[in-house]
Amino acid sequence: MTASRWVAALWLPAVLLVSWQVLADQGVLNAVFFPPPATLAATAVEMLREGELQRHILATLRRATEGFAVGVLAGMVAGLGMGASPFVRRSLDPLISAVWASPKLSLLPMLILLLGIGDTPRIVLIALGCFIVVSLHLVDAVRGIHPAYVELARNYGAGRAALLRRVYLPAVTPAAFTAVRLAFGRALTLAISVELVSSPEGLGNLIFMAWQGLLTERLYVAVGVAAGLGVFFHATLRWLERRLITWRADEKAR
Amino acid sequence: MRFECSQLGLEFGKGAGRVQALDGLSFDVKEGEFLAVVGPSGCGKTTLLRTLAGLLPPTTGEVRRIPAPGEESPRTLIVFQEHGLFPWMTVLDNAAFGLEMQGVAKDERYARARQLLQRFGLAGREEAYPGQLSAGMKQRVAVVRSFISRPTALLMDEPFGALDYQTRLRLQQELLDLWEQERHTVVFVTHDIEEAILLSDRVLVLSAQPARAVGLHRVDFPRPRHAALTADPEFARLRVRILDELHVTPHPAPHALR
Repeated sequence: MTASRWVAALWLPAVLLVSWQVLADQGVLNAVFFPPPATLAATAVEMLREGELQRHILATLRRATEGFAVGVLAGMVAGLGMGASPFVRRSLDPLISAVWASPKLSLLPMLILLLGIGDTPRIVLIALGCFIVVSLHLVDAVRGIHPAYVELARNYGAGRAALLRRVYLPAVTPAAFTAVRLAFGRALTLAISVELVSSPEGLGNLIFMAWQGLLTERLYVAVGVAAGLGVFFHATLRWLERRLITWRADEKAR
Repeated sequence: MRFECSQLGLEFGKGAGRVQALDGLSFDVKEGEFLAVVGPSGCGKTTLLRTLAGLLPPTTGEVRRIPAPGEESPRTLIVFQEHGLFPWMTVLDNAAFGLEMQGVAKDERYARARQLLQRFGLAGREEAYPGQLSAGMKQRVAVVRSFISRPTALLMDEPFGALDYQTRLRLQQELLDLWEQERHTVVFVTHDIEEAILLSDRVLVLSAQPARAVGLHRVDFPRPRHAALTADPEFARLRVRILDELHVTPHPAPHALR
């Protein structure tokens, strides 16, 4: 990133943080409800030294990653299948729409009844969220492939295997990457949401416990870390996407 | 490969939305012949090509594809006007795609593709993606891919239609040079009458929808041909006759030219 882009990306958060600090120092903001950034930084360092923050971050990341892996894999298979076969699409569409439209967290009690207490229902919930994002994106991507490309490949004698390998898969790769990026964000938010409701550890649990004890410094540190993780992974996956997909999808618009 | 088409008719849709694209078309394409098909926009030229290729079954009549003696694997390839290259493959992979589908080993197909790409002025662009090429370059790659695949018949759907005049002239010349060596059967659809006469052995003229044959002309100029041919008085006479058949001659019709 060039210097000007860094400036554009950072000036607003910087202004907000500095104003917060100044307003808290002047007593305009109640320091109990809104502890200033300097205090939060000190709290974060303290929590890091005790190893507490790392423990919660790792718990959240592990849960998010496990659900993400299962959900993305299943979503890819379902999405490709739905794109390739109208029967599969019509069979799965009502279920996927129903889950898509309902708040995922509302499914947790049912999953606990079904799968028992423990981490399994939490991870399945996260996987479900990722599955929806990925499968919906992939169906559209497969169906959005211009039929001319399929006809072209067939004209040169491509069979089913060659069509899949040389047309369908490469054509949906950009959409698949976008879906994976969105799914990871979904996995993080779902992991933290689930932890808010039911979990012995994780950033969501940290937020919930801090809120119960009105330990606002810890509350804000946990929220800030969760937001930071989101920004970090979003940027990393974006960067990876740009490195890996070298052809330009806008060719289709020609 | 040669084609025999008898009483070809093709309809799309049903009821009030029914469209008749082709109506009672009978013609043949001889072995090793370059046949140009001209007609007004939207007259069903593309439909005709797809029917010839076997991608669309005709509603009535039939297309017979007759391989030449000793031709064991007849290959009818189409060069499309748009979406002719896979945007996710490099120029080299696009050019070699036909060979890849024929099971030619990587080293050999790349070597052959490089050679022909170079001849078409694309040396150094092998690793580029289609999105980085001009429209003219893309059509060159598409032509390279079709020729390199050794088709027994090549069906070209306005391959130079989207190009500017000068690029089009250059590609016509390149196509002429290449085809005059290979001499496989070509059906070349275009709305450009000059292009049709310059390239072909015969010109089939179609009417507006539904497409009927309104003219068929032999083009007897010797080969190898060159764009300078367009200045020949005989060329101009043929051009006016075709314009007449398409009902686009400016008034009053210059009958004096006949």
